[in-house]
Amino acid sequence: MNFLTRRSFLQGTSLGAGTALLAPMLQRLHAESAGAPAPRRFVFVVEGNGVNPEQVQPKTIARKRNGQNQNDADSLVDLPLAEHELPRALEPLAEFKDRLTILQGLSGRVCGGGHSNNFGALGCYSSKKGAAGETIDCALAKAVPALFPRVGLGISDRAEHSIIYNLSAWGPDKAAPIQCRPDLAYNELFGSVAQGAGREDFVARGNLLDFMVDDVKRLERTLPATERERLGSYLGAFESMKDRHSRLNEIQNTLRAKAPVVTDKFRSEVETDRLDAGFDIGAAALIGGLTNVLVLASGCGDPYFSVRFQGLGIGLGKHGIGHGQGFDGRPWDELAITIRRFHFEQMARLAKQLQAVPEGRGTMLDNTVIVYLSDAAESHHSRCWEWPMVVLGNCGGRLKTAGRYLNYPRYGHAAHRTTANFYLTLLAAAGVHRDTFGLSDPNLKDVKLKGPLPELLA
Amino acid sequence: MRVTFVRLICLLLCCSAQAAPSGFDTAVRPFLAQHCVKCHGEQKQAGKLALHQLDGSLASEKAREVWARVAEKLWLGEMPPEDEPRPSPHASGRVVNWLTAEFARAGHPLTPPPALELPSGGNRVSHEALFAAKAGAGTPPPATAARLWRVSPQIYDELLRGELGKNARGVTQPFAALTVEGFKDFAGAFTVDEPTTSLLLRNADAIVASLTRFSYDEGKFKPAGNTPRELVSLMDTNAPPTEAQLRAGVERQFKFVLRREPTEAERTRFVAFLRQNIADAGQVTGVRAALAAVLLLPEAIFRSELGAGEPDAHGRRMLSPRELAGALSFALTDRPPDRPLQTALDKGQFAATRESAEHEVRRMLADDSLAKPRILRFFREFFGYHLATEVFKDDKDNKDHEARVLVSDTDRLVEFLVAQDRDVFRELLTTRKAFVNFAVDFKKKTPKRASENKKNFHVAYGLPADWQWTAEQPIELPAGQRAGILTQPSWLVAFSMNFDNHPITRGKWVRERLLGGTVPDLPITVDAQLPNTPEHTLRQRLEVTKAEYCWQCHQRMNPLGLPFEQFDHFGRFRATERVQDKEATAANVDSKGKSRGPVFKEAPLDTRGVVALTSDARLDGEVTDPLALMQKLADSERVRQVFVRHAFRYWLGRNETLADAPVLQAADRAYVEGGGSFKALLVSLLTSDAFLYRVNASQPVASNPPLKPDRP
Repeated sequence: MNFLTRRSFLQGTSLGAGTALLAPMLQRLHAESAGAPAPRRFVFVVEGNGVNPEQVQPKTIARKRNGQNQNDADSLVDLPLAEHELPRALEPLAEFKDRLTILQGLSGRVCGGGHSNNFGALGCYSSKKGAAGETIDCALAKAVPALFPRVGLGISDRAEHSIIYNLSAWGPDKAAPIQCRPDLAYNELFGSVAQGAGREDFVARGNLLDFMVDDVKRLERTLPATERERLGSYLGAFESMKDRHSRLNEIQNTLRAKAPVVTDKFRSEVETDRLDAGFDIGAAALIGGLTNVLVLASGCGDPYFSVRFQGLGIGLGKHGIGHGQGFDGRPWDELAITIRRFHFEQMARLAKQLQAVPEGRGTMLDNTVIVYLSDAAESHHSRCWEWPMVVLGNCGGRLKTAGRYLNYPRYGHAAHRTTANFYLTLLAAAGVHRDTFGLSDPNLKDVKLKGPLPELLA
Repeated sequence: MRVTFVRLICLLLCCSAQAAPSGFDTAVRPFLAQHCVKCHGEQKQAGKLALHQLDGSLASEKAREVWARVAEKLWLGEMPPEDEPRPSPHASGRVVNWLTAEFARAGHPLTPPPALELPSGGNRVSHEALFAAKAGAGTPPPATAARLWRVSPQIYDELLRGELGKNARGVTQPFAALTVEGFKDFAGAFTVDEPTTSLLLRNADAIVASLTRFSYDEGKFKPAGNTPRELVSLMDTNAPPTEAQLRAGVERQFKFVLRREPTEAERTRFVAFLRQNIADAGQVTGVRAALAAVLLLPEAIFRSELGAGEPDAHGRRMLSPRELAGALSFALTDRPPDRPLQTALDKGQFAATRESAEHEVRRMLADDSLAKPRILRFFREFFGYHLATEVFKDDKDNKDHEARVLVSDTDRLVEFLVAQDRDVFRELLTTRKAFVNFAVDFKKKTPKRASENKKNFHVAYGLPADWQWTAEQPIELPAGQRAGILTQPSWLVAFSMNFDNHPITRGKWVRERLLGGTVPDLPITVDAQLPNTPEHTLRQRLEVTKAEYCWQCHQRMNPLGLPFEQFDHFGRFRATERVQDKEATAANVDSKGKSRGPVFKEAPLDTRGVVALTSDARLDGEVTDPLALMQKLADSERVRQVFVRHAFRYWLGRNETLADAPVLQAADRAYVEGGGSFKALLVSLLTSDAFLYRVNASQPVASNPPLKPDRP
């Protein structure tokens, strides 16, 4: 990575270039140099198929459990993390302990549970019928626009899945992709500076978009006014993609500096390699100013979750591990924690990359929040009584996440809260104030389901 | 909805000659005086709205605000209120037409409420006006506005499954259907936005990649098996493509995707595009991107129904032969024209005439080898019984429940009745016949059990536990229990709750689909909850909806849904209703006083219902049970006509307007004269002016005066 500061880059290049169409990043840098606040960034690291609350629970903090091993806390538990040791899975985040909140006890019963809640995990609804509504990443993307409103990268259980649609949505029936092929994701984001085949793809895509804009316009001229409107939306789609494509070309210099180095990992058969590459591309997309919302999805969605983490020496899919099978003499829980730990290592790496880029008086990390959660809540066959999360960063001081352990009281308790409340907190941090997100849990009649979590919102 | 709005504006601009400012004095002022100022005038300003001083000017923002409110209320038929004398549909329509034209003239276009464009807005056109003796008088002859109709998800699926897409990896369905219960594919409902377009783009890449697979064996180019020669040969970097090869590639791709030859201009343009791409992005990538473009042409994404040739005296143009062939094929199937039709089309032997349309419809209907999924889909979307699979039922309450099989049984019944083609609609409402756990083996083509697992599945149909499955189906169900689709377990489950019946949605369904009425949406301020009193029957618990505020709407639903209390929520016939025995439950405790669970008892069943508020005196009246209800409905001319209206909507992809009255009446006549022939109804609709003719939006389209709703 090139650690040229963003401001010096601005002064050195873009103003001199004096282009009429400044890319959003350049506009933002310009705004920043003029005293405007830095953009807020949101990253979701979503691991497929459930995270047992105990695996992210500090050993020295006891949790009250009921007979069914569910959260049974009588009141909100709010403790400083500094006094407690992180569990093994979370150790990679030790150096960020003072920016970290372990968030326990939020429920998401409206999602329904199972191996995965698919769109429901980020959308707070049952996704039995697919994308029933907007998910939180897409909602945030609308609030913090960028050249790519949202970038979704990840892995599936099978290497041949190039793209999957099971986690994010712009609205009902408007699924947003998780790009599972790092090389294709790279071409899409950094194709303008790619070499060889990647560059060819980029150029061909540009030509295709030009051709389509021209062709649709040609037809449009022959249509009656009413249908011109209908075709207008199709034309607008190509124009918008073409526009983005040209902008990517215009900011080649920036992208060349920020693009990740293409390695063998981009086409690797090994899941951990591809996820690693996804994190690299995602980090570069944030640092290059291409997006402010990043989703990193590791085997999310049914039936994509049963990833075999062979890079960690685990030749058994998550489904088997979830059903208590061991591998190579290692019991299921050790395997699960090893996999978890790998994800937190990636998350720590991303945080360090952002921390290394100066922004305003601090670094990019200061204006970012990274949220770790699973698409399946608390277990392999989840029921969403609770949904463990790990939150890193305070999004420009808008969140109170500095070294905390928070555990909300049991389901049904008046002070109980849901994942929707947490998502409303993120929205509030993005400047969007809403009362509700997704569906409200009809069984929580006596619980305050509206608005953000005051404990977390600065 | 902007599309609609432009159509209306264009339409009304051209009507504006009749609706000149003077129209205010002739059409609008008298209307306001007669129907509005009593409550919105000098003496009284209900809703803080006064209309008595309006002079027809739309110059001020304030005036436009007021007029927009007036237009919306008239459009939706919400004013004047029901207890006031009703204006005729034409009178309301004239006011809204005048307003729309004046708004357009003032440069502030007026948009009709979205509800009118969607299937749910269909019943707002007056039934009496549509089926009146002189209906259609004063309106232009029927025609549909020229349109682009986005292909349906099913059509796209067929494309992916077919020769073109079957080897493509990573393709995904880019299109959504309407999500509400009812018809899913309306021409005016969809545009193609950016997320959809990016999916189409990715799919096009994947499809072209699969059509042009190749490898090199010791430097020698090797096309993969089953790849079209004209396409894959363009990939050979040892032999850069010649002009002739490029032309052949373009032709092949056009034939493949659009099922036609490119025009000379298209050929030239695409060859130039290929050349440019090869120069810029290399041979393989460049060629693939150019071929992908064919899959993205609007013609591949939208069904074109613009009309061609010289307009007739009313400005209507017949669909072009290609458009008509496509429209007919997509009316019955999810595929483009079949081989006979395509061949006739390619040879120029298919003319766009009513006669050739009729010939093709009859040919396709008679061809049993041609799958016609659109017909069964109509009945599914009309009745909604297929939604039974969406309703979660707890296994422990009924281990024999299998919604999937209930649905396929009803599918078979519908297919059977449609094939019989005698009194189809009446039979659908009254038949005692049923298929039970019935499927046809795909390979052997012989009957078999649809489910082997649920031993007592057939009990849902009222059959005894020891009933022996038979291949001779349909069978007759026990007498006095069932009458048609609405008493099939599939329909009853589809309109049930997880743990109980749902008389409200059942009644709403009958009101809208059979009586052609409307029910307002649940007000957002209402937190609809039935009392949690398990010791009462559901009918008793529904008493809560008789509060005056609730009853305004619930009177349109509950009395029509309650006769179905004859069945439990799994669709099983019953003689009594199981309720909780409060006292016995209280006493049912163990030695430590801890409850051992609820105790139940049987309560008498009340299956009475009322057909009311239909504005058809022959139809209104009380019924004792669901069988009497179904008989009453099946005997009704109006109910049959409402069914015809729904068929019109499904096959025309839009709601009917007053101008379509002759088409609806002809379709109804064809059905009746054919002895209740559904095929006759279909032939009539698919050869109607509304199906065959298109009008440019700048011409007076099938006049779409927003009308009073058919509020009983």
